[in-house]
Amino acid sequence: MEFLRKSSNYRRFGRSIAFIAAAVAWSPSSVLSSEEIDYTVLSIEELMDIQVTSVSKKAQSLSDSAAAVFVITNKDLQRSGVTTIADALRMVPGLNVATIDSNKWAVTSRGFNGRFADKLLVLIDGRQVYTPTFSGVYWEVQDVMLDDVNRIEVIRGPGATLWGANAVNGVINIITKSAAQTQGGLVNVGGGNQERAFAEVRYGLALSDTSHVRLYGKYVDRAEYEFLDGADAGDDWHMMRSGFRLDAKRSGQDTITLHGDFYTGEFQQTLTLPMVTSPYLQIVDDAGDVSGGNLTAFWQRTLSADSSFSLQGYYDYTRRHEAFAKESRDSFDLDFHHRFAVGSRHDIVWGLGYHFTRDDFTLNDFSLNIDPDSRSDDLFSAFLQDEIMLVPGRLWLTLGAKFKHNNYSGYEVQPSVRLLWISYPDYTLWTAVSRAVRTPSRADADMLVVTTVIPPSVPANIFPVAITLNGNQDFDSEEVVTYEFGYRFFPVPSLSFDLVTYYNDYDDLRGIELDAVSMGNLPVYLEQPGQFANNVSGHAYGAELAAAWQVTEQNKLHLAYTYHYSEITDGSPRHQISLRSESNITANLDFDMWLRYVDAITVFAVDYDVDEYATLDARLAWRPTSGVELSLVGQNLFNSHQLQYVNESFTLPTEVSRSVYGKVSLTF
Amino acid sequence: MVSMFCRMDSLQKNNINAVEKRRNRFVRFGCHFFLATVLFFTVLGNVHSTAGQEYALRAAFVLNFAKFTKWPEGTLACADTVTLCVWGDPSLRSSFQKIQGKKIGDRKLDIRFVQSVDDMADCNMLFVAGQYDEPAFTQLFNAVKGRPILTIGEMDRFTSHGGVINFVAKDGKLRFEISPFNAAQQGGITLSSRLLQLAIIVDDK
Repeated sequence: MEFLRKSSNYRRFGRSIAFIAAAVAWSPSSVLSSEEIDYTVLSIEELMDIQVTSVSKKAQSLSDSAAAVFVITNKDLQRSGVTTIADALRMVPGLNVATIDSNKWAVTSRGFNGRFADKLLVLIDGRQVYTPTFSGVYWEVQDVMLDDVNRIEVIRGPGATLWGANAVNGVINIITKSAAQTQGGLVNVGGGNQERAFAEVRYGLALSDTSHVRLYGKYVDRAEYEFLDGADAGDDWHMMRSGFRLDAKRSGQDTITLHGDFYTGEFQQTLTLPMVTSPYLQIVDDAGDVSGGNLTAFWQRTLSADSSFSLQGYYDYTRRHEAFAKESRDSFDLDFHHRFAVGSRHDIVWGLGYHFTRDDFTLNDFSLNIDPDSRSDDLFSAFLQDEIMLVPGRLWLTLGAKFKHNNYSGYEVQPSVRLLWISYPDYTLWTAVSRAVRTPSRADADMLVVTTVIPPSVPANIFPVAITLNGNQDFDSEEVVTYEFGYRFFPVPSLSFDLVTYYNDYDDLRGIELDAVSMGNLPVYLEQPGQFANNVSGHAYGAELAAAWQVTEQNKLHLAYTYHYSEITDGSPRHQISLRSESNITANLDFDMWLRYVDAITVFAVDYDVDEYATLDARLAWRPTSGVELSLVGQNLFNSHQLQYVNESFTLPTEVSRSVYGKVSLTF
Repeated sequence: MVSMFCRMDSLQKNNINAVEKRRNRFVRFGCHFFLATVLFFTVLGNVHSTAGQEYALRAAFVLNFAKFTKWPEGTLACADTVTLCVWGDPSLRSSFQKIQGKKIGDRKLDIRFVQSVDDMADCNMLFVAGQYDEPAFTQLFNAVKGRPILTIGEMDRFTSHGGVINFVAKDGKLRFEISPFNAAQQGGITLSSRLLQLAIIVDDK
């Protein structure tokens, strides 16, 4: 790392490592303490009487997979003190998360970050939550009860074979617990300077031995951040949501899940919208409204030991009303998966999918237009994957391909080849080659945006010039071929490493082609139109390391390091480090810290350089009695204000404020 | 690693004003605090994690299962040991290491952590930790089918796939299901009636 070489603290760094090593060597981690119960002396009847807190199970089949997988567990969510899904993703190597303002985030995997980052597929319980409007995610409206999240699986790299559209550089799969795992009541209330007030309530009950239900409601109110000059950014917001989940098992063969959510919220934002008359830029204090809802039904049937199928259908709607646009979208999705074994060596999964989406725009401002106002699109897909055991218990070859048809770019084929070697005692090697596409979004094809208006400068230019960006009906899919190599190893039981390297070869990426200056709007303004075109190609490569170290039974460290290089300026940092420490001071007292370093970035769209930064979060939690937890969390503690990203359009640079909040959790 | 964070601000431009200097001090303090705290908990040792505790509990159950199981004459590779193979996350190892060498009658328990079906030749018991997708554990079950191995798991439908004993949580306590049918398929191992009395008997033929 370049900055290390230049560092005058390099020697101090070496000393620290030596100090840690000495401390660990000394620590009596294998010695049983007085507070620890030695279960081995108890009879089986006594053992059956011991209360267990939770039965958390890890998706271990994923960590044996031939892909770059990282799992955020429920415990990671609790102990990191995060309050949003986007912030939790900062612990994942390969991802870059930047706060734009109090209610906007830029999240991406392996480059191309931005509020409108478009190469990531995000699913909540199997429901896709990215918007086909720009193939990206409105992170401010994606939320769940974090206590009820089972895990967040993050797969970097093309996940197109199994998952589908948009999974160019990654898939984020947020999986909530079943209703059976969330029985009883939970209340969280708290507040602070940024997390002004929040309240969450969940209650789960058993309808019978095999069917359970839970209901939840959640309210959050967040304060505004500050502009660079210290003025209030006018970006405070609040959101309310509620939902339910019902899980039922029938005859040991069928699993049925029905779940739904509803949300509504209001967010403030200070918009900068271009105009063709003086002062050519209007500042609008906007109060935006968002609402949405969804209903999902899932049915899985187990046919035999190695065969099962599942069917899922959902309906999802979103409404969004901002100063410049009113957008509504209704989507319907149907998915069928079937898994079966052929002989003892082939494990086959295939599936069919259909997705329907209809949008409707009402545009209120000169700066944005879309043609047509309303559009319906169908997407059909099919996939087939065969996992072949080449050497029993050692070597697997996975061949897969996804075929799909969409209304923008027609037929697409996304194949992948993966090889996995699991070796006793303690390491796994894998390699993969895959192709994925990012199909055109509604904006790519149909949007008309006025990005800026250049004021007239007498005598060179007597008219204002509007720079416009127009969608292209012939815009084709962006394409990537990714080569990946992964190595997981466990040198000692308490230490694990997961290293992934990748090389991405991009083609037909979205760029802009300038057209001739148009005089059609004279004498008011000149127009310099640009059009989206598939005229950018290039490569990117990087390395991602995740390490976990159970230092002692009381202390665990999690390290994530990301290196990313791209030929194409892509708004993503070269180096990122996340180091989390989880400590149990006593059985009832946790103390956790989270250090992060993010390298400097350039936001290409607005040609803005954002400096590197380091910051710290800390959490202290105390459980005075069973069922009660009091916690105090500080976020972004190093800097009272920190710029992390600058929005590509419509808002001004906004700095993240230091945040402190307190929380009371009750379970019953 | 920690110091990398500490120095980053010092890399920035030369014209650091007073505010930034104060901020640097704050960053440096924060880094040292982080380091000091990590070291403190590294050195201090008195309580262990709940996940470890849950697996320590399972390990103790497994030890008891061994005591209530009879293997057919001559199937224990070494007459004086019972070999328990543990399949799962390496983080569970410390929990299972606690029952290493424990007495089972006149035999000793030997723990082996396995990651491949090829390494299970000498297993007398197999504990499958965590949840697996079907292909992974179909392989596992094919490897132990018909052999005198007591299989123990903790996942949904473990017994419907041929497993003998499965941990389930009930009312915040750990219980176990036993499939006598599956036990009878495992090459002649027998479970004591005391164990069967305590178990939730499941019948998944």
